[in-house]
Amino acid sequence: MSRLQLLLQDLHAMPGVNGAFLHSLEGVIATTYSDHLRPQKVGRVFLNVMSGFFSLGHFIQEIYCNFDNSVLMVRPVSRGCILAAVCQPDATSRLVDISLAMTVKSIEEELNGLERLPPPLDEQMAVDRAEIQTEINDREAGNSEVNNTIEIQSEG
Amino acid sequence: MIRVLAVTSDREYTEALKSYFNSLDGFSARGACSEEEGFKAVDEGGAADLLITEVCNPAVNGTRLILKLRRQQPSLPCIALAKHDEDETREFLETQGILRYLVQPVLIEDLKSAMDSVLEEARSLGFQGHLQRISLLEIIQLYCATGKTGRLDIFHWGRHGAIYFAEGKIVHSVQDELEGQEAFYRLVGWESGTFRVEFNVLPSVDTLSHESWHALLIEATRRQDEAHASEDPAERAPQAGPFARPPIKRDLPLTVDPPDLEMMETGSRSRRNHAVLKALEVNDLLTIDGVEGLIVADRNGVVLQTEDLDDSEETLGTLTTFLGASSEATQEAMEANRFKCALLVERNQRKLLVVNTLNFFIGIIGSAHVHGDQLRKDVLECVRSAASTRIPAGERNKSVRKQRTAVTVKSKVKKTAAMEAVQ
Repeated sequence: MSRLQLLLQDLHAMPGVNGAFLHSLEGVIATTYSDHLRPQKVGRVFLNVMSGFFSLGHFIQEIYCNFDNSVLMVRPVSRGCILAAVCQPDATSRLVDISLAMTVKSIEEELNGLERLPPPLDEQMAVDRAEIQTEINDREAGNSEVNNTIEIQSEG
Repeated sequence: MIRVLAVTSDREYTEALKSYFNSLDGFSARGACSEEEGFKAVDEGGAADLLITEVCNPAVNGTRLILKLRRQQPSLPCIALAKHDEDETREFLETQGILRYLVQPVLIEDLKSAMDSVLEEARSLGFQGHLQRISLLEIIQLYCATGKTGRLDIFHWGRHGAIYFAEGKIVHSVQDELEGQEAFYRLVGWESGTFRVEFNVLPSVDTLSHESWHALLIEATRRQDEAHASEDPAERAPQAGPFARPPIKRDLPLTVDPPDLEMMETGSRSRRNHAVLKALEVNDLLTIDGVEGLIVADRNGVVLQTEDLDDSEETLGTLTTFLGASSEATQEAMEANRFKCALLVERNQRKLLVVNTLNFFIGIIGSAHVHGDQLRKDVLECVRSAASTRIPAGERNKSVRKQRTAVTVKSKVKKTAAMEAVQ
């Protein structure tokens, strides 16, 4: 598990926090959700909000979005990323606020140490799929070689 | 690092292109010899920043490759290589975004200069892409409110249209053979598509600057409402796609009475304010500690009422709707039934709280000294108590329907009268 993923898991462990994700300009790069598509939709919208306000000279520190069954807290992180935490409506917002601030700091330290940002999860998954496929192909090729050897030996 | 994808039917030519780009500083290239290989390369190796593909070639359907890849990356710069100059293909491709069309054989200098120009054009773009479930009207408002000059290109199922802005005013619009207002209303009626903006481009003619952008947007909304009202609700498909407007919930507890829509559309500013004030009765909000100003904007960003604001009210109206509509757009992904409010805290600790009501977004400017939590609680309490003194929900819905029908009927009567007068 990557360090970014671990930091999000720590945030997730806070009482009242249902999940968290880190979204770069390209997509979700770490999340506590098993499905990264939903965070991706939310992340894209709030990246647009951040860039829209920024283009008008408003520097955003945080956004709280209240829904009937959850609260979304979004904070900007360095290198164009945003960190979002989805909380229960009755979560202690100040406690989550403090945790978010600490997590943002740790994530920024981590990101600043990286030469390139990690690729979005969908790209990572595509690479994983390709590697698995290559391995399967290699194994199949290996098996057919063994079969050929056996056939040659039996003919001999 | 600029990632180049070269797709041609000739493997040797593809390899030559690959080695050329790999030899350039800051470039990495991949090659493919068919449309399928091209998709596979993107699927497995990630998106490309520049696509070079053959078109008008039975072995490589480059046109389809460009269109499909642009569904994910609307601003993908492309260079199309054609064996023969085919006007129809060239004209079609040139309406599809950033593209250079080169006829083979292509000299390396020509390729380099085409590549430089498409990449430069891509870099100079402003906002681009497709915004999920945020309406085209909201994008237009953002550019008007920020005083931008440029051209907004909209692409919708192979059709193209453009709206030109000059210092925040809408000055021209074109869609196929239509120009001016009719083109504008047709374009804002498109409910899906992609868009891109090129700054500092002015049109050769001016067909719209005599109208204020507010008036254009109100008329566009009215036309959309009329079109939707004439559809059978049972058969109406749910809106989807990048420009779809978020659905308006009809049964919100946090609702207010419908204002006099006819008066808001046609009345003077003060009469409009009166109608909104009468409907909302939320001026108590101004007595809350830390509230510095208030703005009421409809779902299209049109400012209906302002109180005690120092900043440009149009910009704040747009920001209020932008934040409100964006938050509402995430409802589904958040598995929520209703977006209630959004609080945005700036670095200087000033706050913008957007409250979602039936017809409007109420934007409240909070001072730096007040805590966001407290502001949100006080404001929601105030709006809730205002809403609870209103007429019952069933009666309210009847009243909304009656007023909407009245507006539609009145505008139809006006139209018929105008047509009769012409005849």
